[in-house]
Amino acid sequence: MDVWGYTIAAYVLAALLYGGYLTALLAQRRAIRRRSR
Amino acid sequence: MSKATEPTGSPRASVLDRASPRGLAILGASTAVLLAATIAGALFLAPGDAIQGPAQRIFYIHVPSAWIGGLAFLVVFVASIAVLATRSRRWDRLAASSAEVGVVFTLAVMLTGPLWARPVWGAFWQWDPRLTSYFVLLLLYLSYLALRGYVNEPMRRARYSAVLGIVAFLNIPLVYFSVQWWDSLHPGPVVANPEGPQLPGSMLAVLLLGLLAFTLLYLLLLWLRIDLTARREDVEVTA
Repeated sequence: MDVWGYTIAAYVLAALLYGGYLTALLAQRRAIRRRSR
Repeated sequence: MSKATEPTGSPRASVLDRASPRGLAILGASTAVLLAATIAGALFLAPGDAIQGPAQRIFYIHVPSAWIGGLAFLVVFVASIAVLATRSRRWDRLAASSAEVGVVFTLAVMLTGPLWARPVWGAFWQWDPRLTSYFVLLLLYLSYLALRGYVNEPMRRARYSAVLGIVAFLNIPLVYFSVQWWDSLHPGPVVANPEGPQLPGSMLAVLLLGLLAFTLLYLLLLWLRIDLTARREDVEVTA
């Protein structure tokens, strides 16, 4: 892999981590709101 | 559950209980705009590094993630002291939420660091003082989250985890000073350097923009995490 490959991989992995965690929080929040309605 | 073992909390609602949809929308939009500006600045606008090449651009997400991870654990430390002093459920909720969000930032550092190290050092990982102490930091806060999962009784869980939240923070100065106290491959401080920032103004501007963007991201994730915990507690009470 060339050096740009490592750089882009770092950005993609960070986006997946932060984005995945945010999505999980929003999904759990939506599920609890639906259940408590 | 007896009333005596339940952590107390004031009946007044606060940002430590629920996130308002409007507040979340404003914070979410601001975070998205600043993160997009940081990525554009880091990948296309900041000047390239003559020695490290494109790998140096990882710095603009790696360093803010590390700083905000440290901030998250400082919040755990302060909230843990407040838990022991006040026995408040709100402080416990803040400590637990900040620890989980801090672990996410720490994992981001642990993912992006090796991807910088491979082209620059020739290896993904070295058992270097900074990397080793940072790995220990991750293990400490993972054990904090595990401890919370093992203790069911809320007051005992709040007390035990508060003690660990205070003790674990003692590793932070070790991580920070590891590059000065021991021979380390890891670069020393380039911004908080005694001789002033050791990078050009255009690089510093993108780094500071990234720091602001990741601060907002931390606040957004923390607010959502606290809101989720408060909603879960409400469901448990009414169940």
